Amino acid sequence: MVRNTNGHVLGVMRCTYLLSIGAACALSACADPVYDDAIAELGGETPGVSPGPLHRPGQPCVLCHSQKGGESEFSLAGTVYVEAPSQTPIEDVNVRVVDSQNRRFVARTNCAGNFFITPEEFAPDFPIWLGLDRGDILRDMDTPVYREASCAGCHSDPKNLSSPGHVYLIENPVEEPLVPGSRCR
Amino acid sequence: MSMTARRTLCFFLWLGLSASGCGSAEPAAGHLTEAQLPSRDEFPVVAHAMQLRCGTLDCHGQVGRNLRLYGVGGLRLSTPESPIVDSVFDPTTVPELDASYQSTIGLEPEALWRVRDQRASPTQLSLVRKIRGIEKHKGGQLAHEGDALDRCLVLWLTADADPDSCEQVIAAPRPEVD
Repeated sequence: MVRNTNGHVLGVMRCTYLLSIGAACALSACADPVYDDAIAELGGETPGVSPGPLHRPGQPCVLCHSQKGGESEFSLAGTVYVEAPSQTPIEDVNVRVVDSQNRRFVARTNCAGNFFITPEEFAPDFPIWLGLDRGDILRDMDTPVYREASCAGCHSDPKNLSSPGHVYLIENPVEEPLVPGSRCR
Repeated sequence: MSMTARRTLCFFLWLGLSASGCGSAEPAAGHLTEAQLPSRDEFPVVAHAMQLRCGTLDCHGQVGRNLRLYGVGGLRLSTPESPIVDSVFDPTTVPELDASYQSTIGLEPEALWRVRDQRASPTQLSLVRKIRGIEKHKGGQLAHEGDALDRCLVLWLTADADPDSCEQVIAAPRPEVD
């Protein structure tokens, strides 16, 4: 016999129906078409770049790298570029994170400009605040992040009324010494 | 507030009252009532505080949200009269304040009327319940009853704005990430 939370007995038909839904979900992973479409819109891998730390720079990493997305989970991930108008990624940038509990973590960009933080390394309690540095160049994000774990979730290209454009390190190349871009081959 | 916004609110009030069979303290069905709305003149400082706490691009700085906030640091609204040239650095414009104001007061017109005119508890408003963490809010609990953000928003919604509280929210230091 099955009772619901109010103590009422559920009918056999209803139980069967619920069990059927559960079984169907288990088999199909209860696909979310909106989510699936968002992932499909990212397209395929760039030829010559295998899935891994260097792939898909500039894309919203956590769409896939989440429990829902099915890939290894990231608690925060993104790509850093040299300048606002540049599509050149920049490596060895420290991505500094402080969360609402004042816990801190520093990640570093690789040669594709990508960085990622796994939940085992650091599971921030949102909101979080972010800053970048490489050498003497420091750049802090003006606003906190309340929930979005992919930089590109908000910082998509091109810059428009609902996006500030991609994340970059150098605001003014005249005042800030230009640093080498990427050694990716 | 524009005439359009005023008429819209009056219509919603009429609709809500008609449907709910209101008591004698409330206007008769079919009659438009001029509602006392939160001040548009005092809204800029409230909007600035809300923009910092609620209006980021990953929260209410999105066109798909019922509470949709516009301004610097978030979603921008470009109009022919006040075009946005640089979406990151241009200061918040008057049309953006107008849009944020209308979005905020238009969320629950009937509940807002009860809170303003009938002195009902401000927790009748989802906005208040959500920032206080009384109701599920994906952005979490943002305020405690009586703190600066709570006073900034709730006093503006229910009575007279408290700009000092809003200024406290605006001036709150961000954590050093160094």
